[in-house]
Amino acid sequence: MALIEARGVGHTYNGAVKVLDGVDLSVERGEFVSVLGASGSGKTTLLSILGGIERPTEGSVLLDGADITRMKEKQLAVLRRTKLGFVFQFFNLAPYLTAEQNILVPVYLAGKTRKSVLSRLDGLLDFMGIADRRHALPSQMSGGEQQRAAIARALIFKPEIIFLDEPTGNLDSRNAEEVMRLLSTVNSEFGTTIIQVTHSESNALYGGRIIRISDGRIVADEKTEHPAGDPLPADDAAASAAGAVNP
Amino acid sequence: MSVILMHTLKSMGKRPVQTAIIVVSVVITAACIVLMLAMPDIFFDCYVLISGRAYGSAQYYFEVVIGDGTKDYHDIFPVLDRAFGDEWCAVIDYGEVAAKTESFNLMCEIYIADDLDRFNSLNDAVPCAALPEEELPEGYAPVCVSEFFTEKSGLSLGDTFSVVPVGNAVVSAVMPDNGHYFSHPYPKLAVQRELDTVLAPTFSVRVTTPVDRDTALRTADEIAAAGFRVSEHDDVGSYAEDFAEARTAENMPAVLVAGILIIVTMVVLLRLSCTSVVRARSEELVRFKAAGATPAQCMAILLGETTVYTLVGGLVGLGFGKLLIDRLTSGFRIAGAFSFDAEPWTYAVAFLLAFAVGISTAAAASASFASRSAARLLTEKDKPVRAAHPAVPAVFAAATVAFGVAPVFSDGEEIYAFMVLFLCCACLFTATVMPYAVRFLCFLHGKIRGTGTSYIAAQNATAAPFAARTATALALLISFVFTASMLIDVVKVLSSPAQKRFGFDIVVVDDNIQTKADADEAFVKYSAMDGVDAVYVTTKKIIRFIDDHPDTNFHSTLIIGLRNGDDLRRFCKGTDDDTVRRFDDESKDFPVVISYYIADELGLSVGDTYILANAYISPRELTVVGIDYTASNFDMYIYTRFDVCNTFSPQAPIVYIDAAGATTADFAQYADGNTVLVFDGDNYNMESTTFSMDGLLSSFGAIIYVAAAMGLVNLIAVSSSERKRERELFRLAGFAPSDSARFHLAEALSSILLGGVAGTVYALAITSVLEPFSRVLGKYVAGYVSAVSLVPVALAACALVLLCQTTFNLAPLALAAVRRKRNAARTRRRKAATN
Repeated sequence: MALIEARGVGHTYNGAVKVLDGVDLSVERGEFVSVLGASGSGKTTLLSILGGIERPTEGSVLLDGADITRMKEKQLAVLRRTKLGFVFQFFNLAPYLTAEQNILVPVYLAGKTRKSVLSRLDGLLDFMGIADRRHALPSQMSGGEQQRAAIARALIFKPEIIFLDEPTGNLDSRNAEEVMRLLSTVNSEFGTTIIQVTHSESNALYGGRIIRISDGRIVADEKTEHPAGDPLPADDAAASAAGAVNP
Repeated sequence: MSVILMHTLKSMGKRPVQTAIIVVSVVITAACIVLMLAMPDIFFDCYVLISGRAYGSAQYYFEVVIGDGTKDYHDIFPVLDRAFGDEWCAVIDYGEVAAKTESFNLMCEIYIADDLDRFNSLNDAVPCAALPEEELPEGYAPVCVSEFFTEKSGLSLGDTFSVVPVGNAVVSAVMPDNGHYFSHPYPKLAVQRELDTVLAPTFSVRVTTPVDRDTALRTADEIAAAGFRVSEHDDVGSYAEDFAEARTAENMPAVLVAGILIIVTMVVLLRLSCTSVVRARSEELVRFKAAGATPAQCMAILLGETTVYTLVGGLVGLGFGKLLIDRLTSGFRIAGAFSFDAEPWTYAVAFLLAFAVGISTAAAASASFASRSAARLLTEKDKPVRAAHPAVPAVFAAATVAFGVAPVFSDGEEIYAFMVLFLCCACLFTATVMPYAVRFLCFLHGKIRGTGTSYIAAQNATAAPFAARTATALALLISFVFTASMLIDVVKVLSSPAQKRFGFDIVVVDDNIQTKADADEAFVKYSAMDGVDAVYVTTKKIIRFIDDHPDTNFHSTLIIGLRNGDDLRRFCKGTDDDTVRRFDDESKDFPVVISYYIADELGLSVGDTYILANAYISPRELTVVGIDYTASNFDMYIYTRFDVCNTFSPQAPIVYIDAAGATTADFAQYADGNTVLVFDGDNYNMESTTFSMDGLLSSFGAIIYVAAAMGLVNLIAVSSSERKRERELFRLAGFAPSDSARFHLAEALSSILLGGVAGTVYALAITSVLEPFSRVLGKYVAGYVSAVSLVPVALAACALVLLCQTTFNLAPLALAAVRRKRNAARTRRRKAATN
């Protein structure tokens, strides 16, 4: 069974502007999917609908067989904090919380303490390469560090799927590449399903599957033979961190 | 220009809440300025009325003491005729005397004048209704009564009635109530007959205008040379006016301090509002800059908007200020007694000042943002607040303490400056220390651990500017409101303290009570009546002193006899058990509790003795067993035991009764023949007449409170609108709607806890500092302030913050939920139609 499945999803804004039209999509567990399209093609709306942030005006979305379009907001909130993770281009972190506190937000929401996830937290911070920045506020961190912290937050509860909307759009090429390689490692090492939307062909190549979207319709759905970039070097620290993160 | 104007109007339309808040702030500022400009006039009128009561509206006044009675006072009249022609009269004021008749009882002021026409003409020289001489019935003494007297008694011109001690009288004239406020406590009744110099060994000479001061002084000297004693008033000329001017000048600094504080607060609030609005428009500014706008053009756009705000707000504020003054001045019992003859330039000045305040505060905020680069505008938006170096609040704390203590060691005008500096430093200390207080709260919160959302909220509040700002604003609001109330009390120099202690539902003047045993019997008798909650039997003796008496340097004092120490608590707030014990100690011959003004004047403290004497009573050695710090300098009271007071000479014993459920009719039925008079408490006391002045000051206070609350509401409104993205972010991180509600509730409660506690602590500190201020000033400030009285203020402010924070933050969430539900329903309908 597919991890997430969109059936005939369509979406219209204000009853007039149709941004998605009959989208059918199925993503298997462990896949790294890139949704590629130009601005205004409907890719961000598709991501929001798949992630349960928005409800489609037509069709349904099944996550592990359950229709999330019929779920109540509270059920969706629990899903977001446990099974789903989100990383966006801007505004990923609460500006008044430190990196560590931002990562721990879902933990506190689940009623757990920092102590209960401490080893995983340390492992994630090491894995993301921001262990020394754990007490820094977002304004004191670089864009790349902020995105890493955001990814760490998305991973803190070992989600089944992470949604990313232009995760590198705000980064320079070096940081962008590092973040993409990191995501690739997350996908390969942890088996986390990743769905990213991007307008960058090179970033899209990091995924094992590319879905092209135009005018609200899927125009191509293809597997890539050789995903771009290698996972992060499996040095000892990273390997041990990954081990701590992914027991 | 038209483009800017169009943009301005559209921008204002897009932000209706902010627009309304800024315009209302400017309206209040302009109204405050108008009120401030009117205050000197209103205060002068107020004191003219005080002097009118104290000096019978006479332009000139001196008192002649007949002494041992060997000289005929008629010998003085030729001297006065030579000096003043027929523009004078001699008057004995019997003060508060009960007029008893068969049909009604009235407490009124009875004047015995040697010439009723002249006496009438002294009453502001306003012609009054009068009965022609040929219509006066024989055997009836002609009396002139006040309008208030006719209202209360139901009598009109030509009616006859009996009055003690005059006998049968006919209303021959009705005089207008010139001093409605201060002369109204009692109706007036003036009788023309021989001066009763046996009962009253002094009479006053009242002179109409125009006579110069030298003539008045020369005449007084001539009378003294003829062997009479004349009380010496250096300022005998235009005494009433001098009095009013002196009192106005004396109190204006305090009023100005209050006014400056209000306007400074308004400037701060406007600054906050303007900064918030400009900050909210950072992205708009970036777009302007990207389109090629220079900093000056950006600033012009922002100022264009402010110009519209201030023009509209300023003009509305002038109208509001005028309306307030009209309401205040016409709200008194006689229209026109208080007046504010504003010239057009007064309003022009008020408008210009309000306009300058609005533009300058906006200009500061606009210049700061307009000059920033586009990148900085984008990146600094969510920058956490940077707390001041710990030394900064420490310095402000030290300065606050220093300026708070300084007045204790000074007695000059500089105390007003100290007062302002103290309050400013206290505010700055609050503002700079609050981020540290928030951090401390978070530390405690971390130790206690609440729900996940409240923990996140507390963590979030560590560096969030809105949390520290809201808590600071709340603390300032609470302390400011209380301080403003205290400042109003500073200028509330009237009889309110006396009013409070003598305010009862029913007052009975019972001539039967002459001894302690009588008093105890009366207590039992009146306590047993239906509906009676409390009874206090007192006797009052006003002792007047002549000014050159070697032992006394004040004019008169009121000696009040009470049954026991427990009754003392009703009249002296905050009387402690030790004072009660000393008061009831019968081994002391003359134990007294004195008002602090007398203590200050005579340098007395508890345990001291003082010989009270004047020309007409035997000297008494009083032992001070307590000092009443709640009295004003108009409360020259000496409280002693009933039997002690009576030794000075028995006089009109009064029973004060708390009996809200009873009426005067119930008591009149119970009254013992002609020896008991029953009064409604409102008519007997000044309660109904002090209402007007209370209204004036309370209105002034209300404006302050509204202004302060507006600032706080604006701060929360702007903060919440700035946090739209943050709310969305937390939603993505897994916040359910209930989590969001808990998050904002936790944040609001943190702010309330900090701000409420800090504000209450500051208010108490300010109270304790103002009390020494009041001693130095010699004015009434509630020296005894219960912390309980702060609770409603603090609770109201906290409730306001809670309401605003939850409403402004949760309303968008609720609206979004409604929108989602509506969309879902629409989708379902569409799906159903498709199927």
